[in-house]
Amino acid sequence: MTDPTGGAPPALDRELHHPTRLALAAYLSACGEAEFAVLRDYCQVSDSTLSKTLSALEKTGYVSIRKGYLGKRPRTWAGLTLTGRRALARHLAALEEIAATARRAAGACAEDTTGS
Amino acid sequence: MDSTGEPMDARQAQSALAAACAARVAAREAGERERPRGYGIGQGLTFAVGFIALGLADREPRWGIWLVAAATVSLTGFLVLLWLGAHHGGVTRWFHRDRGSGRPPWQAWVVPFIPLAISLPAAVVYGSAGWLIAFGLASGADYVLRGTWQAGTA
Repeated sequence: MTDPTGGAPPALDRELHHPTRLALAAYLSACGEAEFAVLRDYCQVSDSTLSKTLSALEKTGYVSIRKGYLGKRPRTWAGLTLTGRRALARHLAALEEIAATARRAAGACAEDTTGS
Repeated sequence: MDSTGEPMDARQAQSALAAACAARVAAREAGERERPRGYGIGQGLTFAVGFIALGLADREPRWGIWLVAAATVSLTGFLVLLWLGAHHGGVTRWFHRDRGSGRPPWQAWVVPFIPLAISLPAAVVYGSAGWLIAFGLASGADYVLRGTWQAGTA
């Protein structure tokens, strides 16, 4: 989307652009840590897809992965790092800006139409 | 065209924002899901026993080592229960100032200080041992009540 004001477009984060990544990061932003199975069920993706997504986000430093045991069962926990929280906040602000700009443009367009 | 190199229009931005909002709400609800009452009761009891044992160790030097050992075991148990309780259900809570459920935000800040306020008079009258015992009892009761209340309202 081009910016009607002619300024620089809002900076969306490439790492959070994909819907699954965004849902994952947003989910993790509202909790301390979440278990792999919980994230898989929420995002409705396969184990391998979630594993790849989490690994990619871990590489960027947005997500921290912790492996442990609950009793004898191995468990994987994921949490959003401080860097990830900041990146998500920036990304959401950019999305908000895109939506707000479009609303402003639509409002101005409606005013022009009623004025003429 | 956005900075990711992919086209992004207002409608897509709006739906992405809605998805992010829904994910946050889902995570918050999962984090505040009902936890077994036993965690709260266990945390309260181990906390109270640990601090009472520490307080008594100060008053009864003859049993000091045993009481400190009992306090260590009990407080370790408290930390383990705290950890298990927080991780129960697969989602741990994040810190929110607004606790929801109609509870005013100031309560989230004031309530943790109540056991401290209750134990201060005991410190003035009975010294550090009195403070440890009163703080253990007040905090233990707080954990038990909170555990019972959360299990009852969730």
